[in-house]
Amino acid sequence: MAEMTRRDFIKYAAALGIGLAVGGGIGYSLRKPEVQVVKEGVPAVGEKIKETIKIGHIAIFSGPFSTYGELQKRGSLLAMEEINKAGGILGSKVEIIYRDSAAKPAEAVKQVRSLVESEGCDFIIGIDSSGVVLGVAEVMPEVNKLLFVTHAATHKLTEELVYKKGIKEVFRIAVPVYQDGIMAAFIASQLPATKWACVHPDYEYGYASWELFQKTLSKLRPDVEFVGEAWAKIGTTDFTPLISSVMEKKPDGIHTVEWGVDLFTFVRQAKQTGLFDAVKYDGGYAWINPMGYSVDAMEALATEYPENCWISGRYVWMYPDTPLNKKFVKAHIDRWGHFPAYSGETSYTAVYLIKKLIELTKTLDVDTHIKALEDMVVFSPAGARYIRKEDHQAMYEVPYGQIKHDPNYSIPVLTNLQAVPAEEYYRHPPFEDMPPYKDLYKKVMAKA
Amino acid sequence: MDLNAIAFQLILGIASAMLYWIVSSGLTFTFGVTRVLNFAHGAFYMLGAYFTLSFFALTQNYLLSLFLGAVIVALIGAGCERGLISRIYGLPIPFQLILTFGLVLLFDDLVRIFWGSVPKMMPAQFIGSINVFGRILPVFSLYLIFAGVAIALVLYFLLSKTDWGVEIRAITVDPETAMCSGLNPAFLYATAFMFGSFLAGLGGGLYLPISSASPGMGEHIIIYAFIVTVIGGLGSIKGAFVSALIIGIIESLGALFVPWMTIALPYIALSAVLLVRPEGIFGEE
Repeated sequence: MAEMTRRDFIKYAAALGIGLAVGGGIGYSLRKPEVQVVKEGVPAVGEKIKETIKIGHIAIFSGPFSTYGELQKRGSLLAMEEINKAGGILGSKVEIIYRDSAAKPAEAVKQVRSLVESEGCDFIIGIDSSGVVLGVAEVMPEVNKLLFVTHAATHKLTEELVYKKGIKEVFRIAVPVYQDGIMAAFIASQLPATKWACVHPDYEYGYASWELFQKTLSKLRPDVEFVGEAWAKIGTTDFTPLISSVMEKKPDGIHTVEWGVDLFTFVRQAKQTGLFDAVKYDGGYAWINPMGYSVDAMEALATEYPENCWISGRYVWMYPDTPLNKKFVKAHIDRWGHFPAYSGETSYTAVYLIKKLIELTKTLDVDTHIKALEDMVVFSPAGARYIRKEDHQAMYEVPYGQIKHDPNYSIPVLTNLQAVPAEEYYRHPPFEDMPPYKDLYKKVMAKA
Repeated sequence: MDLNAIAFQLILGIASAMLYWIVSSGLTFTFGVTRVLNFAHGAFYMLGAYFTLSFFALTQNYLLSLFLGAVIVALIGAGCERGLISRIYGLPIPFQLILTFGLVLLFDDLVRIFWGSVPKMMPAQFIGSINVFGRILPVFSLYLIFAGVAIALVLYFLLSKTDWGVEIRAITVDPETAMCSGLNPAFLYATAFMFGSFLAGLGGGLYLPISSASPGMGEHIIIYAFIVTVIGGLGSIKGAFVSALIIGIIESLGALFVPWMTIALPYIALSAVLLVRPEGIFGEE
């Protein structure tokens, strides 16, 4: 793998140059963004906008989910090092200050204030949990800085707080629960299973995912039933009572958005309790775990996660097959010795997006930035991201795939990748219904 | 709903309860003797998992690694007691909370430095399952029940049949008289704390093969251990055993009958006990 990417890197790096390209969406299929014209606030040539551009990065750095802060940090730190090595942003150095949210809304809000007011940060990025992000978003207008969300997934952030409530300072780089609920249902609709059950973490993210999954799947496949649910507290030590209560309902498909350490416990225990066997079909397992392809899960579980389960992430390193993505994966492995996690990619992209934003507008003015970002198209390792004007959601697609244990790689890989254009599975303003199903059903079925 | 399903769920509930019991046994035992509410108990649990993991990598023998891991944690516990906690006996409760919470942060970060922040797993142990009531019972559930009962018996034996146990009980019930009778409180407190830490380490090591080791893994279990301890009566070992069973079983049956409120059940039980009998089921006023 390392040899392979190194060769690719040399081949592509020359052709591509360094950094992300941001610009008008020529050839981009989603929608034609408006042309950006920057007029005001242009500093004289050679004048720096600010000596150091400071970015506050808030993530979980303590407790059982602290890995997620670490995975994000790898991405943003790598971007910072690359940018500074190449001369910074319009000559200004970039500095990232890391703070622990402890997965608590109040703590994260405190950190936002401290980063902006005491440290003088110009941007905030990060935020891991759905519960935390809703609290943080509310204070962004007050501190008058932009927040780039790199992980937290609840659709309420962009649909309700940005679109309906008009909090314009918030942008989300990562794919929201549309990936975990709607896209998961597209995959489910192609599988023979007709009796679905869930094992979900008992909080906002679990409920949102399950609701979108059921709504979508029941439209795509009127013949399916939803037979059972289990709600696991965060930090569940023994999943067996939950698993057996679901198995009593005889499901032949499982939807689970467990993640982090709880996912490890769940998969290990599900294996011993026969849950995988119950959802086996000819060609794999009707087991859909949207955030299963997280680097921590793949490193810890490795070959223990059964092959041919359907999993995804908010980015998977093998998709898309572009020079930019290969370059990023290679740089990440060289720097950290690990494959990039999905939140590593989103954090990396957030920092480069800030760079391009400043280069484009030549100012730190928040309103100018908001205008520039709306309808922008960003070329990132995860592919082209289109930042939708109405809800500030970056639209890009992430595929699902089936787990394969390949001895050539240090972690399991995904095969049989299934992707749908973002436009077709993201909800659209005014967010009253699911995506347009009629055409979709045909498309999905044609693919299958 | 057939009876077999309920009976099966009951067995799983007892197995779940055993982990709560093992962790709370040490917590309540330490509190009973030293009157220190040890927040760091969860950190010792985490250390038990990590040491077991490392010893297993060296020896490939799980039971040996489990024992060695718990012994190391016991020694660390004794060190903490002698070096730090013994200095705050008799001071107001907030001192205990701050000090033991400080230990939690310290050990979490040490774990991150030595083992890394990405959770680690050892190869699964106790693989396989048996058929009970026409359902699949994993062997590791039986292993949890066996371990829980074994620890209960060992505790019973130690406290009622050995000199150390009698002295521990004496100093627990009436410290002044015990000291007047020539018992050495420093020795007894240190060994009690050490034994409590041993149980925490054992809990982490026992849990490791059915899950993983991660920094901060003690944070969730310690909340449950506190619930169990308060329901059972602070300091009561018998109480911890009974209340762990209650929590495990209501959670398990709850998953079957009222899945949407499983998460609330332990707290409902806790509130009910606090309302009706604030000192806990086996607690003393």
